[in-house]
Amino acid sequence: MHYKKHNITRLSLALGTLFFLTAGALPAGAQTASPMLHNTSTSARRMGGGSQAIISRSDQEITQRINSLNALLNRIDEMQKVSSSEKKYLSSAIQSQIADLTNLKTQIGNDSNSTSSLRTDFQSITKSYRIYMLVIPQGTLTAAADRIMTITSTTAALAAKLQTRISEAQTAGQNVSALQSSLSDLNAKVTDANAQAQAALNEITPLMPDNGSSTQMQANTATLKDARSKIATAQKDLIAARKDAGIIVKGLITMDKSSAASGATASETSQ
Amino acid sequence: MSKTLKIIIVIVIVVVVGGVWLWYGIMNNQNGTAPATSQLNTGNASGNQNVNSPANSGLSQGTSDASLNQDLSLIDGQLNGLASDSASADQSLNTQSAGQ
Repeated sequence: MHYKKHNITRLSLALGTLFFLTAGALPAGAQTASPMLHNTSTSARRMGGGSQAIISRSDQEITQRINSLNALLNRIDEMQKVSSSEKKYLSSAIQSQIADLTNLKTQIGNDSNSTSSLRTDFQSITKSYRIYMLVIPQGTLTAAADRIMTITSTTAALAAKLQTRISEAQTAGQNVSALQSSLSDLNAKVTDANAQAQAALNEITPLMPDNGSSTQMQANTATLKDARSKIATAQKDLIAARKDAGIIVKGLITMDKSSAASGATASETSQ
Repeated sequence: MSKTLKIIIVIVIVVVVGGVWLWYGIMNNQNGTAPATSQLNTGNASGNQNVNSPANSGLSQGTSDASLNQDLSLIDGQLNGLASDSASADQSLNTQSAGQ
Protein backbone atom coordinates (compact mmCIF):
# COMPACT_ATOMS: atom_id res chain seq x y z
CA MET A 1 0.00 0.00 0.00
CA HIS A 2 2.82 2.28 0.95
CA TYR A 3 4.63 1.46 -2.30
CA LYS A 4 1.45 1.99 -4.33
CA LYS A 5 0.91 5.42 -2.80
CA HIS A 6 4.54 6.29 -3.38
CA ASN A 7 4.40 5.30 -7.06
CA ILE A 8 1.17 7.20 -7.69
CA THR A 9 2.80 10.28 -6.23
CA ARG A 10 5.81 9.79 -8.52
CA LEU A 11 3.57 9.37 -11.56
CA SER A 12 1.60 12.48 -10.69
CA LEU A 13 4.81 14.45 -10.35
CA ALA A 14 6.08 13.19 -13.72
CA LEU A 15 2.80 14.01 -15.47
CA GLY A 16 2.68 17.42 -13.81
CA THR A 17 6.21 18.21 -14.95
CA LEU A 18 5.46 17.06 -18.47
CA PHE A 19 2.31 19.17 -18.61
CA PHE A 20 4.25 22.19 -17.41
CA LEU A 21 6.97 21.64 -20.02
CA THR A 22 4.41 21.12 -22.78
CA ALA A 23 2.72 24.41 -21.95
CA GLY A 24 6.13 26.08 -22.27
CA ALA A 25 6.51 24.70 -25.78
CA LEU A 26 3.57 26.69 -27.12
CA PRO A 27 4.42 29.16 -29.93
CA ALA A 28 5.67 32.46 -28.62
CA GLY A 29 3.33 34.41 -30.92
CA ALA A 30 0.37 33.12 -28.99
CA GLN A 31 1.72 34.85 -25.93
CA THR A 32 2.66 38.17 -27.48
CA ALA A 33 -0.28 38.95 -29.70
CA SER A 34 -2.88 39.55 -27.04
CA PRO A 35 -0.93 42.01 -24.83
CA MET A 36 -0.11 44.08 -27.89
CA LEU A 37 -3.73 44.32 -28.92
CA HIS A 38 -4.71 44.98 -25.34
CA ASN A 39 -2.23 47.87 -25.08
CA THR A 40 -3.55 49.45 -28.25
CA SER A 41 -7.19 49.18 -27.34
CA THR A 42 -6.56 50.34 -23.78
CA SER A 43 -4.77 53.43 -25.03
CA ALA A 44 -7.52 54.06 -27.52
CA ARG A 45 -10.11 53.99 -24.75
CA ARG A 46 -8.07 56.47 -22.69
CA MET A 47 -7.80 59.01 -25.49
CA GLY A 48 -10.22 61.43 -27.08
CA GLY A 49 -12.11 60.87 -30.33
CA GLY A 50 -9.38 62.33 -32.62
CA SER A 51 -6.59 60.29 -31.11
CA GLN A 52 -8.75 57.21 -31.11
CA ALA A 53 -9.38 57.67 -34.81
CA ILE A 54 -5.64 57.97 -35.48
CA ILE A 55 -4.89 54.86 -33.44
CA SER A 56 -7.62 52.95 -35.20
CA ARG A 57 -6.39 54.06 -38.61
CA SER A 58 -2.78 53.23 -37.65
CA ASP A 59 -3.81 49.76 -36.55
CA GLN A 60 -5.58 49.27 -39.85
CA GLU A 61 -2.64 50.49 -41.94
CA ILE A 62 -0.07 48.47 -40.02
CA THR A 63 -2.18 45.32 -40.03
CA GLN A 64 -2.66 45.65 -43.78
CA ARG A 65 1.10 45.92 -44.29
CA ILE A 66 1.85 43.03 -41.96
CA ASN A 67 -0.70 40.86 -43.79
CA SER A 68 0.91 41.73 -47.14
CA LEU A 69 4.31 40.88 -45.76
CA ASN A 70 3.12 37.57 -44.32
CA ALA A 71 1.54 36.64 -47.65
CA LEU A 72 4.80 37.43 -49.39
CA LEU A 73 6.72 35.43 -46.80
CA ASN A 74 4.58 32.39 -47.59
CA ARG A 75 5.11 32.87 -51.32
CA ILE A 76 8.87 33.10 -50.84
CA ASP A 77 8.79 29.87 -48.88
CA GLU A 78 7.23 28.16 -51.91
CA MET A 79 9.95 29.29 -54.32
CA GLN A 80 11.72 26.42 -56.04
CA LYS A 81 14.45 27.84 -58.22
CA VAL A 82 15.81 30.84 -56.38
CA SER A 83 18.90 30.17 -54.28
CA SER A 84 18.45 29.44 -50.60
CA SER A 85 20.60 32.46 -49.73
CA GLU A 86 18.34 34.76 -51.75
CA LYS A 87 15.29 33.28 -50.07
CA LYS A 88 16.92 33.75 -46.70
CA TYR A 89 17.81 37.36 -47.48
CA LEU A 90 14.27 38.23 -48.54
CA SER A 91 12.70 36.39 -45.62
CA SER A 92 14.98 38.16 -43.15
CA ALA A 93 14.23 41.56 -44.67
CA ILE A 94 10.51 40.90 -44.49
CA GLN A 95 10.62 39.55 -40.95
CA SER A 96 12.60 42.60 -39.91
CA GLN A 97 9.93 44.86 -41.42
CA ILE A 98 7.22 42.91 -39.62
CA ALA A 99 9.08 43.34 -36.33
CA ASP A 100 9.49 47.09 -36.93
CA LEU A 101 5.82 47.49 -37.74
CA THR A 102 4.79 45.47 -34.72
CA ASN A 103 6.95 47.71 -32.52
CA LEU A 104 5.47 50.79 -34.14
CA LYS A 105 1.99 49.47 -33.48
CA THR A 106 2.84 49.06 -29.81
CA GLN A 107 4.43 52.51 -29.74
CA ILE A 108 1.33 54.10 -31.22
CA GLY A 109 -0.80 52.25 -28.71
CA ASN A 110 1.32 53.78 -25.95
CA ASP A 111 1.18 57.34 -27.37
CA SER A 112 -1.42 58.31 -24.83
CA ASN A 113 -0.32 61.82 -23.87
CA SER A 114 0.52 63.60 -27.06
CA THR A 115 -1.59 63.85 -30.18
CA SER A 116 1.37 65.34 -32.05
CA SER A 117 3.63 62.36 -31.32
CA LEU A 118 0.75 60.13 -32.32
CA ARG A 119 0.46 61.93 -35.64
CA THR A 120 4.21 61.72 -36.16
CA ASP A 121 4.17 57.99 -35.48
CA PHE A 122 1.23 57.55 -37.80
CA GLN A 123 3.02 59.38 -40.59
CA SER A 124 6.10 57.25 -40.04
CA ILE A 125 4.09 54.24 -41.18
CA THR A 126 4.31 55.50 -44.73
CA LYS A 127 7.31 57.81 -44.55
CA SER A 128 9.95 55.86 -42.66
CA TYR A 129 9.05 52.28 -43.45
CA ARG A 130 10.28 51.44 -46.90
CA ILE A 131 8.23 48.29 -47.33
CA TYR A 132 6.35 49.42 -50.39
CA MET A 133 9.43 51.14 -51.76
CA LEU A 134 11.62 48.10 -52.09
CA VAL A 135 10.97 44.96 -50.09
CA ILE A 136 7.54 44.05 -51.44
CA PRO A 137 8.28 44.82 -55.13
CA GLN A 138 11.60 43.00 -54.79
CA GLY A 139 9.86 40.00 -53.26
CA THR A 140 6.98 39.85 -55.72
CA LEU A 141 9.30 40.15 -58.72
CA THR A 142 11.58 37.46 -57.32
CA ALA A 143 8.55 35.22 -56.85
CA ALA A 144 7.51 35.80 -60.46
CA ALA A 145 11.03 35.10 -61.73
CA ASP A 146 11.14 31.91 -59.69
CA ARG A 147 7.80 30.80 -61.14
CA ILE A 148 9.05 31.48 -64.66
CA MET A 149 12.11 29.32 -64.09
CA THR A 150 9.88 26.56 -62.74
CA ILE A 151 7.68 26.72 -65.83
CA THR A 152 10.67 26.74 -68.17
CA SER A 153 11.90 23.53 -66.51
CA THR A 154 8.50 21.89 -66.91
CA THR A 155 8.12 23.04 -70.49
CA ALA A 156 11.64 21.93 -71.40
CA ALA A 157 10.87 18.48 -70.00
CA LEU A 158 7.65 18.40 -72.02
CA ALA A 159 9.61 19.47 -75.12
CA ALA A 160 11.79 16.38 -74.72
CA LYS A 161 8.68 14.19 -74.64
CA LEU A 162 7.26 15.96 -77.67
CA GLN A 163 10.51 15.43 -79.56
CA THR A 164 10.27 11.71 -78.84
CA ARG A 165 6.72 11.56 -80.24
CA ILE A 166 7.61 13.64 -83.30
CA SER A 167 10.57 11.35 -84.06
CA GLU A 168 8.32 8.30 -83.72
CA ALA A 169 5.79 9.87 -86.08
CA GLN A 170 8.54 10.68 -88.56
CA THR A 171 9.81 7.10 -88.42
CA ALA A 172 6.25 5.98 -89.13
CA GLY A 173 6.32 8.00 -92.33
CA GLN A 174 4.37 11.07 -91.21
CA ASN A 175 5.19 14.59 -92.39
CA VAL A 176 6.33 16.27 -89.19
CA SER A 177 7.95 19.43 -90.55
CA ALA A 178 5.25 21.75 -89.16
CA LEU A 179 5.40 20.08 -85.76
CA GLN A 180 9.18 20.23 -85.73
CA SER A 181 9.02 23.92 -86.56
CA SER A 182 6.60 24.54 -83.68
CA LEU A 183 8.90 22.62 -81.36
CA SER A 184 11.89 24.74 -82.40
CA ASP A 185 9.87 27.88 -81.66
CA LEU A 186 8.81 26.44 -78.30
CA ASN A 187 12.42 25.74 -77.35
CA ALA A 188 13.52 29.24 -78.37
CA LYS A 189 10.73 30.82 -76.32
CA VAL A 190 11.62 28.73 -73.27
CA THR A 191 15.30 29.67 -73.56
CA ASP A 192 14.44 33.36 -73.82
CA ALA A 193 11.99 33.21 -70.90
CA ASN A 194 14.63 31.65 -68.71
CA ALA A 195 17.20 34.27 -69.74
CA GLN A 196 14.76 37.12 -69.06
CA ALA A 197 13.86 35.76 -65.63
CA GLN A 198 17.51 35.29 -64.76
CA ALA A 199 18.35 38.83 -65.92
CA ALA A 200 15.49 40.22 -63.82
CA LEU A 201 16.77 38.35 -60.78
CA ASN A 202 20.32 39.56 -61.34
CA GLU A 203 19.02 43.13 -61.45
CA ILE A 204 16.86 43.12 -58.36
CA THR A 205 18.89 40.91 -56.03
CA PRO A 206 21.56 43.51 -55.17
CA LEU A 207 19.09 46.38 -54.58
CA MET A 208 19.45 48.04 -51.20
CA PRO A 209 17.06 50.34 -49.27
CA ASP A 210 17.50 54.00 -50.20
CA ASN A 211 17.74 55.20 -46.59
CA GLY A 212 16.23 58.53 -47.57
CA SER A 213 18.35 59.14 -50.67
CA SER A 214 16.08 60.24 -53.51
CA THR A 215 18.74 59.37 -56.10
CA GLN A 216 18.95 55.82 -54.76
CA MET A 217 15.19 55.60 -54.60
CA GLN A 218 14.85 56.62 -58.24
CA ALA A 219 17.55 54.14 -59.26
CA ASN A 220 15.77 51.37 -57.35
CA THR A 221 12.45 52.25 -58.96
CA ALA A 222 13.96 52.26 -62.45
CA THR A 223 15.58 48.88 -61.84
CA LEU A 224 12.37 47.37 -60.47
CA LYS A 225 10.41 48.61 -63.48
CA ASP A 226 13.00 47.23 -65.87
CA ALA A 227 12.87 43.87 -64.10
CA ARG A 228 9.09 43.95 -64.37
CA SER A 229 9.31 44.44 -68.13
CA LYS A 230 11.65 41.44 -68.36
CA ILE A 231 9.18 39.35 -66.37
CA ALA A 232 6.40 40.47 -68.73
CA THR A 233 8.48 39.45 -71.75
CA ALA A 234 9.18 36.06 -70.19
CA GLN A 235 5.50 35.58 -69.46
CA LYS A 236 4.63 36.28 -73.11
CA ASP A 237 7.32 33.81 -74.17
CA LEU A 238 5.83 31.11 -71.98
CA ILE A 239 2.31 31.73 -73.21
CA ALA A 240 3.61 31.41 -76.79
CA ALA A 241 5.51 28.24 -75.83
CA ARG A 242 2.32 26.79 -74.34
CA LYS A 243 0.49 27.58 -77.57
CA ASP A 244 3.20 25.77 -79.55
CA ALA A 245 2.94 22.77 -77.24
CA GLY A 246 -0.83 22.68 -77.73
CA ILE A 247 -0.43 22.77 -81.51
CA ILE A 248 2.09 19.92 -81.41
CA VAL A 249 -0.03 17.72 -79.14
CA LYS A 250 -3.09 18.34 -81.30
CA GLY A 251 -1.07 17.49 -84.43
CA LEU A 252 0.26 14.29 -82.89
CA ILE A 253 -3.23 13.20 -81.84
CA THR A 254 -4.55 13.88 -85.35
CA MET A 255 -1.68 11.83 -86.82
CA ASP A 256 -2.50 8.98 -84.42
CA LYS A 257 -6.13 9.01 -85.51
CA SER A 258 -5.33 9.13 -89.23
CA SER A 259 -2.78 6.29 -88.98
CA ALA A 260 -5.26 4.24 -86.95
CA ALA A 261 -7.93 4.85 -89.58
CA SER A 262 -5.61 3.96 -92.45
CA GLY A 263 -4.52 0.83 -90.57
CA ALA A 264 -8.13 -0.22 -90.19
CA THR A 265 -8.82 0.42 -93.89
CA ALA A 266 -5.78 -1.62 -94.90
CA SER A 267 -6.92 -4.43 -92.62
CA GLU A 268 -10.42 -4.44 -94.15
CA THR A 269 -9.00 -4.38 -97.68
CA SER A 270 -6.73 -7.36 -97.01
CA GLN A 271 -9.71 -9.35 -95.73
CA MET B 1 1.24 -6.89 -7.88
CA SER B 2 4.96 -6.92 -7.18
CA LYS B 3 6.90 -3.75 -6.58
CA THR B 4 9.06 -4.36 -9.66
CA LEU B 5 6.00 -4.72 -11.88
CA LYS B 6 4.55 -1.47 -10.55
CA ILE B 7 7.81 0.33 -11.24
CA ILE B 8 7.91 -1.05 -14.79
CA ILE B 9 4.32 0.10 -15.41
CA VAL B 10 5.15 3.58 -14.15
CA ILE B 11 8.26 3.73 -16.37
CA VAL B 12 6.24 2.63 -19.42
CA ILE B 13 3.59 5.29 -18.73
CA VAL B 14 6.25 7.99 -18.30
CA VAL B 15 7.97 6.92 -21.54
CA VAL B 16 4.67 6.97 -23.46
CA VAL B 17 3.62 10.35 -22.05
CA GLY B 18 7.13 11.69 -22.64
CA GLY B 19 7.02 10.47 -26.22
CA VAL B 20 3.68 12.19 -26.81
CA TRP B 21 5.05 15.37 -25.26
CA LEU B 22 8.18 15.21 -27.41
CA TRP B 23 6.07 14.67 -30.53
CA TYR B 24 3.81 17.58 -29.59
CA GLY B 25 6.84 19.83 -29.01
CA ILE B 26 8.37 18.89 -32.36
CA MET B 27 5.08 19.53 -34.16
CA ASN B 28 4.81 22.94 -32.49
CA ASN B 29 8.36 23.83 -33.47
CA GLN B 30 7.69 22.82 -37.06
CA ASN B 31 4.55 24.96 -37.22
CA GLY B 32 6.35 27.93 -35.72
CA THR B 33 9.48 27.69 -37.85
CA ALA B 34 10.16 30.80 -39.86
CA PRO B 35 10.14 30.29 -43.63
CA ALA B 36 13.73 31.48 -43.85
CA THR B 37 14.94 28.32 -42.21
CA SER B 38 12.49 26.04 -43.96
CA GLN B 39 14.28 25.26 -47.17
CA LEU B 40 11.90 23.55 -49.49
CA ASN B 41 14.47 23.06 -52.20
CA THR B 42 18.02 23.34 -53.20
CA GLY B 43 19.31 24.72 -56.46
CA ASN B 44 20.96 27.96 -57.43
CA ALA B 45 20.00 31.32 -58.79
CA SER B 46 21.66 30.66 -62.11
CA GLY B 47 18.86 28.25 -63.00
CA ASN B 48 21.33 25.71 -64.31
CA GLN B 49 20.19 22.79 -62.24
CA ASN B 50 19.25 19.69 -64.15
CA VAL B 51 15.53 19.44 -63.62
CA ASN B 52 14.42 18.85 -67.17
CA SER B 53 13.29 15.31 -66.61
CA PRO B 54 9.65 14.34 -66.18
CA ALA B 55 10.38 12.93 -62.74
CA ASN B 56 11.75 16.24 -61.47
CA SER B 57 9.40 18.59 -63.25
CA GLY B 58 6.12 17.10 -62.05
CA LEU B 59 5.18 15.90 -65.52
CA SER B 60 3.38 12.62 -66.03
CA GLN B 61 5.31 9.54 -67.03
CA GLY B 62 5.18 8.35 -70.62
CA THR B 63 4.42 10.03 -73.94
CA SER B 64 0.87 8.89 -74.63
CA ASP B 65 -1.75 11.37 -75.84
CA ALA B 66 -3.41 11.35 -72.43
CA SER B 67 -0.09 11.91 -70.74
CA LEU B 68 0.75 14.88 -72.98
CA ASN B 69 -2.67 16.45 -72.34
CA GLN B 70 -2.11 16.00 -68.63
CA ASP B 71 1.24 17.78 -68.96
CA LEU B 72 -0.42 20.66 -70.79
CA SER B 73 -2.89 21.01 -67.92
CA LEU B 74 0.00 21.14 -65.46
CA ILE B 75 1.62 23.96 -67.42
CA ASP B 76 -1.71 25.79 -67.61
CA GLY B 77 -1.87 25.68 -63.83
CA GLN B 78 1.66 27.01 -63.54
CA LEU B 79 0.87 29.81 -66.00
CA ASN B 80 -2.13 30.76 -63.87
CA GLY B 81 0.22 30.99 -60.91
CA LEU B 82 2.52 33.23 -62.93
CA ALA B 83 -0.41 35.48 -63.86
CA SER B 84 -1.16 35.82 -60.18
CA ASP B 85 2.50 36.59 -59.39
CA SER B 86 2.59 39.20 -62.15
CA ALA B 87 -0.55 40.85 -60.82
CA SER B 88 1.04 41.01 -57.35
CA ALA B 89 4.20 42.52 -58.85
CA ASP B 90 2.17 45.15 -60.69
CA GLN B 91 0.23 45.97 -57.56
CA SER B 92 3.40 46.35 -55.50
CA LEU B 93 5.00 48.57 -58.13
CA ASN B 94 1.89 50.73 -58.40
CA THR B 95 1.78 51.15 -54.65
CA GLN B 96 5.49 51.93 -54.70
CA SER B 97 4.94 54.67 -57.29
CA ALA B 98 2.05 56.08 -55.28
CA GLY B 99 4.23 56.20 -52.17
CA GLN B 100 6.79 58.51 -53.75
